[in-house]
Amino acid sequence: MISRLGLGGLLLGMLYAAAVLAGALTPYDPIHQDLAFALFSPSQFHPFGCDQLGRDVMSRVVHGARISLAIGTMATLLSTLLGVTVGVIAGAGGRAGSLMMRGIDLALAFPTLVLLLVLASLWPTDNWLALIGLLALTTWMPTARLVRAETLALSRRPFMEAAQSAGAPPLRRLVRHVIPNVASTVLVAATLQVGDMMLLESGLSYLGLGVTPPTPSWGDMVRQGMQHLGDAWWLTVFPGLALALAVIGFNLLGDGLRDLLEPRLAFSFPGRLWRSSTSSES
Amino acid sequence: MVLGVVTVTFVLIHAAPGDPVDLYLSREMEPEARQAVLASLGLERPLPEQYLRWLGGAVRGDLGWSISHHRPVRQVIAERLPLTLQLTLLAFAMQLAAGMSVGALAAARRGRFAEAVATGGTLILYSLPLFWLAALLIAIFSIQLGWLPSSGARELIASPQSWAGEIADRARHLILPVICLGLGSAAFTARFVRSGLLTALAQDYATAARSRGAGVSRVLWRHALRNALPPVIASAGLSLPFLFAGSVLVEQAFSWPGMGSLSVEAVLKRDYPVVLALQMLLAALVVAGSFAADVGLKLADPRLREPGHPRAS
Repeated sequence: MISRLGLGGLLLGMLYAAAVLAGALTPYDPIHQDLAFALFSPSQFHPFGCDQLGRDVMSRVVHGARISLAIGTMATLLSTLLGVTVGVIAGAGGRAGSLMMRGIDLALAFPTLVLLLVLASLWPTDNWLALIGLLALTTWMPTARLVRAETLALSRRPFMEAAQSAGAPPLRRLVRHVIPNVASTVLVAATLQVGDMMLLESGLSYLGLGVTPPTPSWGDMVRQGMQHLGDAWWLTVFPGLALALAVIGFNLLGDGLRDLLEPRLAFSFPGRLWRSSTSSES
Repeated sequence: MVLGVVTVTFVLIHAAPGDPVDLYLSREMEPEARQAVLASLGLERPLPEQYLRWLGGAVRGDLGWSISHHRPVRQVIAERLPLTLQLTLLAFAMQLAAGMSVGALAAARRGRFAEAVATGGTLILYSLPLFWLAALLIAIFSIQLGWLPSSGARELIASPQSWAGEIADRARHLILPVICLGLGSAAFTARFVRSGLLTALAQDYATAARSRGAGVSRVLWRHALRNALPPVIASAGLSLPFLFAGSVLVEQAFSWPGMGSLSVEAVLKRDYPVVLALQMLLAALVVAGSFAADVGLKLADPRLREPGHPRAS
């Protein structure tokens, strides 16, 4: 079977490369309008066609990759940081821990997108930092839950008790013992989360609340493209395709990492032996 | 829990810069006139008082006055709630039905081409952006093939129809949005079901049943499925908030007049009473959903019903 890790990595590698090399790949300025070219279908000069304002779609898609990938990655980093911090604290303390858990559950009761909507309307999201902060603030909860569960499970293990009885202060126990052990789980979760984050960001842009035009953002491009769905399919298909590929890439990568880092379960179906790789569930 | 959601939302709304009515009032208005408007909407009072008044009203069923619709919030929501419920519940049903069948199929055809297709296909399906999927569905089925309508919940130029005609019309309009919303979740559920079934099939009781001469298909499904069910139910319960979040995008894409598109509209128009009420409703629905999931869990796994059993929560 084709390695999931490899495929995901390859896909993402190409996307990131395209994002970084954006300027070199496409000769057109993504925000340059030339109404003479409005709604041109894909051609050799404009492989992805032009949008309603004459902008080259390919350039916009590639530059949008930069923005979407950057926002997605940074927001995930921040969110993971937040989640791990809260999770570790919640997993350590007794009463304070369960209180924090309640807080996390409360925060989880909000469907993310709706919360994002409300927050995005209240505070301006035209600068990147605000958007990233907002995204991180609404998505740290599952990570925190995960980390807390792992921390709790770990604290019952003998080596943790040993460390404690050897006199190691809580902070040291945390850093040297807990964190390395939760690292692999967190890594898998974070990788998968980047994909979700990109979907969230583009969803916001699609609704008109995320990255502001004329900066190219895949979600925004799809939104504008919807108006021309019948006559200019390339306006919606290409940005969305790029987004889908990115998310698929992250999911593949995350799954592959999970297979690599976490215990494998070998299945044997009675009557049929599984001959190729024993790649585990999902 | 619901109370907490409401409180936080309330605080957030009023913590934002600017008054809630800034959008509606001209800046050139005289200060007195502006004050008058604020007073009429009750926005003058100190925050805690506003909060308590809102709560008091909410408990009695009065959810306030929509600034943008010029109608009681309760009315606006009552119109939209059934539509969103139709969409979400049908999508949920689709998620369960399609997810479990495909998952079971994938587990049964382990090692064959069909399984690889199912695994790969489901991964792709649940990675797709919802609004893009909506665009694709509309482009293919509405515009190119002309089979299904692309927006709204009913035909606009319809003469009064018979009762059956109305249902058929609604059904036609429901097909694309439900598929859009349910496909991704169904794919996710399918993978979950598959892995759960595979784990169950690897257990001792499966081997035991098989060695007793039970046919691979029927009796094993009876054993494996029942054991694999609880995690699936749990995950289905957890996926409800996701369905509601997705409904926002799908409703917007298909111009489906439900609570999702109402949320977007209310947020964009700074119609805070509506936003507050919707948040509360949504939180209540999510809580109801997890409660239902809990009940389902107890039904599926009798062990959970006995207090004191190690598996019981």
